[in-house]
Amino acid sequence: MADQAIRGFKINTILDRLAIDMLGLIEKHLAAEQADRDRYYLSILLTLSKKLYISQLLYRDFRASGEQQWHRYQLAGNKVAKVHEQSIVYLHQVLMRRLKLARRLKHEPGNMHLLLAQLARFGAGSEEWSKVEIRRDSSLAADEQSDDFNTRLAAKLAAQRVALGDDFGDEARRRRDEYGPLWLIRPPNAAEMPEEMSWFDVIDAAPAPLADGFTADSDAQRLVVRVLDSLNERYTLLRSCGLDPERWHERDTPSIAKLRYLKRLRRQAEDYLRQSVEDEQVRSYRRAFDELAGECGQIAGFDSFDDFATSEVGMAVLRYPIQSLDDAIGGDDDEDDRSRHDLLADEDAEDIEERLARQEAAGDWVNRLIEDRPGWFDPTMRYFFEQVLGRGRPLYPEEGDEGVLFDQDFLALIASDEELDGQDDEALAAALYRRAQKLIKRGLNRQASASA
Amino acid sequence: MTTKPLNDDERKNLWQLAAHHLQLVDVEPKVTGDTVEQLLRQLGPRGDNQRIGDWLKGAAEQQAVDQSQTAEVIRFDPRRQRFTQIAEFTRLAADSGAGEIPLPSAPLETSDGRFRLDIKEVDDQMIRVLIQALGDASDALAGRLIGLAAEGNYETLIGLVELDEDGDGMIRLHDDEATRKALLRPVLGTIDDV
Repeated sequence: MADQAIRGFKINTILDRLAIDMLGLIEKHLAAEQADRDRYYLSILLTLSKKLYISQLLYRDFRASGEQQWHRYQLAGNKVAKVHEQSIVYLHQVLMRRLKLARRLKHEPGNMHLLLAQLARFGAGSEEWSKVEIRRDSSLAADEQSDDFNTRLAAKLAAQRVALGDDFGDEARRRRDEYGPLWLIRPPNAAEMPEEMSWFDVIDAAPAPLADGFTADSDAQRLVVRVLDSLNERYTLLRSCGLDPERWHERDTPSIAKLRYLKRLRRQAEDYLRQSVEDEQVRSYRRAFDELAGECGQIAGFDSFDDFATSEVGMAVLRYPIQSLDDAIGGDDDEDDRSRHDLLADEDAEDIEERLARQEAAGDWVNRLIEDRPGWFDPTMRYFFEQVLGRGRPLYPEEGDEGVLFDQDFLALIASDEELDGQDDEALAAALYRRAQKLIKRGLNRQASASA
Repeated sequence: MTTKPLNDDERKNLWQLAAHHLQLVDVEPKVTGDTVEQLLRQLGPRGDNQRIGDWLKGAAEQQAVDQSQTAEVIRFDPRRQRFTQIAEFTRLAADSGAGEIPLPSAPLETSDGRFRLDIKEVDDQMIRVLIQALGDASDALAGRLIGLAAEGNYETLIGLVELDEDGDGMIRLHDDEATRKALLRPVLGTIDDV
């Protein structure tokens, strides 16, 4: 693999990873001779039901049994397709939601509109598609439309506007009155866009079939990440607070701002448990509440812990197991609690930025880690750390990368590794993950012991 | 060129970075078109206004009924195997009534929410006990051999079952007074070879 940039962005959060998968799924869907919405839904649900998304993206219901969480389907050849209950919730609550116009925008279109425009620029069959632009304009009229433009895009947008009617937010209404409707323009054609669109509205309206190359387009990649980021905001916060999105996502309360406070409260309570300042969940929350309320007088609109603990939202937060939500790597019976908590997945955007800034500052961080403990890394792990963790390369083939599992150099290393040689791809990927996990735990345990 | 050695903070940051990036590694291959096509055939066409969840759940439930589980008889040997208690269930005042000892009217759950027991009378003088490990316990105990015992009597177990990949297992027991008494204070434990 050459040292070229693989994508328009690095894989730093689970939404980056989801964006890559979603782009791949858009490509399959919009390249098909006849785009079929149900096939597309199933592809998304099966993708979201992978271990990666279950542990890192979807809400985890610790009280539900496996039987309640999984829908299984026996396929030919003894294969089983599994759809996770939370993937269905995510599809309904997050991906089908129309994105509201952000308050900071004036005449500018929202991210969903920009994504549609970017996809439209890859419309196949005519060079005119590459000239697509988008803007608010009160003087435009849709009086000249070619058949191609109308059937592949304008008619679909018109149907969506009819379905939306007046059911859009005040912000969009204000901007529309001030600057005019939003138009997608492919000179000399123009089509008015709905003020608010969902992910599926955008995909349905894109002028299929699209030309090759849009999945590798860095603007499209960045827009997909931004759209997913906006769609995901409330869901991620609810998950961080232990509030079931199925019950809480569509409600107006708690607001995003209050959820941020509740997330802070949960983290503080978790810290107290981790540091053994408290040994019981409710006491830990009480201490955290009192400390944070000391700074701001109240937390998320609650003047006292008792008010919080007896509210509907408070009871739901307190009922959720505090230590297990983010524990993605833990699980060994003999694992030391201290290091287990050091491995908590971090969903806080600020923390991730901080961490990534440290990464930038560390430069070639993987090699620094390897140089620091050269005896710990066998040749297979050295390659895995450099390529997969350091460069963010995928194990399996995807756009622009043939996948580390298929690198000739790596295959040669595997062939000389007794433990790994001869395994099928999935077993090999899982074994590599476990070996890397063990190594990281060793590193964190050593650090925890050193600082104790 | 020699790189400056790492200090403890830098080292910790780098290991945390490695942990963060490892969590984003996808160890499963992409979903194939063939899987989607087969699943679509299983599900059949979705109704015009049918919610996706209803469409998926209906077909899964039907398949589950078609493949209803049967319990496998596994023997417990206290000389060679060890029972380690992992959960106990308390039934309030269940043993205070006269006459036949009743079975619990609702599923029992441990106070930490990690295990559930659903005990029901079924046909032919049998009792069906569904054991469910919940949440993270389901991952930890999937595939493990689990024993069901009466509190305090861990040598003669009521039943044994290997939990499936969801952490669920079912035991069928003869419906008699001894079984009902044993189910007053049921205890679950892992079974390991000594």
